[in-house]
Amino acid sequence: MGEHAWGMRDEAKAWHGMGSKSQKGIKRNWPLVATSPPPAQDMIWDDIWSDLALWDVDFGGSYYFNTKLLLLSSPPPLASTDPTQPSKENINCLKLIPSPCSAIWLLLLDLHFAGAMGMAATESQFHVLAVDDSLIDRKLIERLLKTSSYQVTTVDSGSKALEFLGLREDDEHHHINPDTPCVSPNNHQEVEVNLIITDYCMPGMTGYDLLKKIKESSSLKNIPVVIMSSENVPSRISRCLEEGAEEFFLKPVRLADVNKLKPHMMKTKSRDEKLEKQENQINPEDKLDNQDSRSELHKQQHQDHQQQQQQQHQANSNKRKTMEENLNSPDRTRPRYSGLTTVV
Amino acid sequence: MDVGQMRRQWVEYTKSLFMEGFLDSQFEQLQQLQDESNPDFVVEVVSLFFEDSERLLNDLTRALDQPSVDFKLVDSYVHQLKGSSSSIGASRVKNACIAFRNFCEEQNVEGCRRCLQQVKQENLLVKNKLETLFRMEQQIVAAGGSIPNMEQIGF
Repeated sequence: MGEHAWGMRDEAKAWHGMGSKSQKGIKRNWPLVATSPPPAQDMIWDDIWSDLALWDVDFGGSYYFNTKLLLLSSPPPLASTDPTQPSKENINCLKLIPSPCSAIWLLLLDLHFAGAMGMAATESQFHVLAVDDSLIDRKLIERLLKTSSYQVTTVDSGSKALEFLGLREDDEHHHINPDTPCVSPNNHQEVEVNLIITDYCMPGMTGYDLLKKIKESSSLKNIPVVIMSSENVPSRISRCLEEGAEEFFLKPVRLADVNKLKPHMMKTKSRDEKLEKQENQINPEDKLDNQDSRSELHKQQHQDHQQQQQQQHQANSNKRKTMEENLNSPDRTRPRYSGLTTVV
Repeated sequence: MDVGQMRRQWVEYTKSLFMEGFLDSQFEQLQQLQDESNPDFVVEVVSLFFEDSERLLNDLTRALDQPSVDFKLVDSYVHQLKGSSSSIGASRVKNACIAFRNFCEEQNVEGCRRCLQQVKQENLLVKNKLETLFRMEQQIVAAGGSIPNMEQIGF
């Protein structure tokens, strides 16, 4: 957990898109939470810490914050003489930024993040391993996933995928390029893969074969697998789902499909982190969700956003200190990748 | 010609490519995936496609010239071409591939050869169309303009 930008506003909807995808299509990976209605002030102090807050001063109460703060004010800049109203003088804030927030202010926020906190320590990202023998499709899936802020590794075959995962491919029924160096599983201990998305139809090991290998492996079986295929063959689809695939996407894969991935990763992540009980927390934004009648894509983004929030609610209910410890602790890498020699 | 006019022309031309079925909504997906961090994404992927299709069309020509045609091999080439054409939204190439695969299944050499000609023709057509489109984009950018967003213009 690195930086946290808390967006608090009476109209939470207005924040959608700012954290992940903002004006001009520039990608931003700020973790951002919008709440509606805002949490109680004592809760803010006790349970939430932040390096940065985005706050609409019109909604009031922002001067309770004493953190590095960015204020979003509407109408633009405050020169309030009323001492009960927040202003540059009576709160400890970095900048007052006008609302609606223009691209130039977003750049300023970027600079703030990059400079003050170091971009390297970004929010723990989901890492997706994409497997496809077609270069065009690898490009496409890579771009689709990166647009959704995932970290992506692409490989062109099932055996390379297993190699990357540190699973030695000893099965002789499958064609393996003898030139491919056999990578020691130890080299991959630090690699965390949160999801595998694979093409079905590939020469040598098919996506189905790969799925089976993964589900048979004690160390890899918890990684969600999604199969993609250009052919809509019902028996194929049900075979994959029965074998444990989470989803079956028809190719070409689209943004709307990629948006379905996050819940599968969240499931595994939270299971790993033993946070199941918090999954059922009521999200204050649920109401807003139902009101949203915009396009399917927008809804999907909204859901993603929610997932992100949920994750943050979980993460932030721990104290800052704990999080910092986690950040530096090697325990963040899932233990399942150690001792890979015992598998197959 | 001013930038506004160039942009309008680009919009009209793009619309015509969709209307005439050269492109489908998958091409719009590619356009959506292009942004400041990847300003040449569409051109890159489309170029990859044409490299790929040229290779496959050569392979197909060779395979169908054999005295005894290996239909399984032909079908695997057509399958690849169908996949990559649908990935970039070249729908007329994709449709020609679908018909092609039916003749493969029937093991109909004549049908396959006719289809190969058709796929070649569609491939060339969409290649020319996209080259024209990309040239228009270069001119807009060179004149200091930006490429219109198809979503914004309600297409």
